[in-house]
Amino acid sequence: MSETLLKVRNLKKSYGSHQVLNGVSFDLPAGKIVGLLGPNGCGKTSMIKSIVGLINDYEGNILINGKAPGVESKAIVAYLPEKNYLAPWMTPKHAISYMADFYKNFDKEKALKMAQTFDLDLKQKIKTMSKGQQEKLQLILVMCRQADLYILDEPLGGVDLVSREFILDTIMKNHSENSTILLSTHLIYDIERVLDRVLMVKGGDLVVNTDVEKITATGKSVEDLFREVFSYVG
Amino acid sequence: MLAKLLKHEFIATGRLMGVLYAVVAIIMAYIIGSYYIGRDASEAVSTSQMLGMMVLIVISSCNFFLTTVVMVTNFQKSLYGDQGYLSFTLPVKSVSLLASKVIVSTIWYIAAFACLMGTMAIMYFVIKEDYIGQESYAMIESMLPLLLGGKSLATVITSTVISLISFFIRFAVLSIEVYFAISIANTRLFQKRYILWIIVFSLGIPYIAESISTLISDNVDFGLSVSADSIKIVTDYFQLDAGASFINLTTIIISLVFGAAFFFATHYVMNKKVNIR
Repeated sequence: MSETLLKVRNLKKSYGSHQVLNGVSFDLPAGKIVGLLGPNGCGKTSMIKSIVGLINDYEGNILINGKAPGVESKAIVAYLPEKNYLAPWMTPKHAISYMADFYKNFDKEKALKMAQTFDLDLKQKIKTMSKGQQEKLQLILVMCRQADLYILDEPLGGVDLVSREFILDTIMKNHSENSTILLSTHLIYDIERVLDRVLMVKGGDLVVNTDVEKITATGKSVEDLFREVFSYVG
Repeated sequence: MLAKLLKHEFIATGRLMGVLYAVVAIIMAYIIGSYYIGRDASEAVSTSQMLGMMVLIVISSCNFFLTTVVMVTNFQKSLYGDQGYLSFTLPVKSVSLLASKVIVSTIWYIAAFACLMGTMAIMYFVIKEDYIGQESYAMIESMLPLLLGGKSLATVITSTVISLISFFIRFAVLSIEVYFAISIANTRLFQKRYILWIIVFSLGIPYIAESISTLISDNVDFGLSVSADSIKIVTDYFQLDAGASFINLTTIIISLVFGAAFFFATHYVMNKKVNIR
């Protein structure tokens, strides 16, 4: 495995005449927890979608473990989107079998155990589950993979404080050793304590790419820096 | 991975189609069973058999439309809707993703065709005398040798198999054309009113393809001459033997070319031109 797990060079993406990414470049090493921070609409999701292979018409280069987004990279990237991506007729049992069929690194036994722990009925249809239950299930499906790179797009959005703690706890306890987590959010306070590094995106540009240690060494918190960069009044 | 994709594609589409064909199978088994087991030869078709027959006719009549609706809905939701976030991040080639959908939809179309044939066969063999009358049955039986034209069994079987293959290729190509139409309707230009454009393109693209196919096949005589005891390739209608029937190979070749072209065009559009909502 290469030292740099994710390499992004001069990534540009536009929707028609609207440019959302203006040539973003960064490297992510293995074994780090990285916060991808920025307000809504700054280009975070487009960046993530390009990395996971959902967007192909971008300019620039993306390499995951030395490979462009494709079949091989998808096998080592575990992606949690903002949306519920499971068919409404599926049950947790079926969703777990589905993941086990396609991902060699998916731990089916662990997923079944986690579903029990999270109080999910394995035979309940997803369409009848609450939003919170659906999010728990998707989190199980992602975190039960022994992936090299976990990409979590707004996993804490739209849930209460207790749920946010629960989600973050699940992520921290279940990600595979020496894996990297790229965690996109605008709720910095909740995740600050777990981050090793932060990337801040503003108007399609990467404006901050630094270690949390370096930020705290200046006497600031990540949230302080975020407010500074995005001119938020505290 | 194609096998796994096929398995899950069958599960996704089989919830409705599977139940439908299970109902069809039960009704067919009931009609055939009740006819042959413990039935007096002079006994008329029972009300329940007639009712079953009517259900079969209704299902067979709307089966192709229902299959199309299920295929279109499943393709749209599983690739270009929220479920696309899962489908497109699976570690499978996108060409396999598309192929699995084409194969499964073709199989469902074949099932719809088999259902129609089964219904007709039951009408003919089981309730023929009571339903269509002794005279009509005798007339159909007397017409069969005329339809077959005195051809040998081997010739009839070969030409039937070729005709069925040609028929099934048309179903596969129709599926690909509809999938191409859905993909185009999901590109940036048409995405806002994609349902409207899916309908427009799903009707328009197969119509244009069929028109081109007809135009070419009307002008290129290439096919099989099926006579009493032989099948041979002919390149002109005038080469047909007296009493021989003609299987148009031009149409099959054009279908295959269109199928390949639309398949790779769909693959290109879904990879390069569609951004999942």
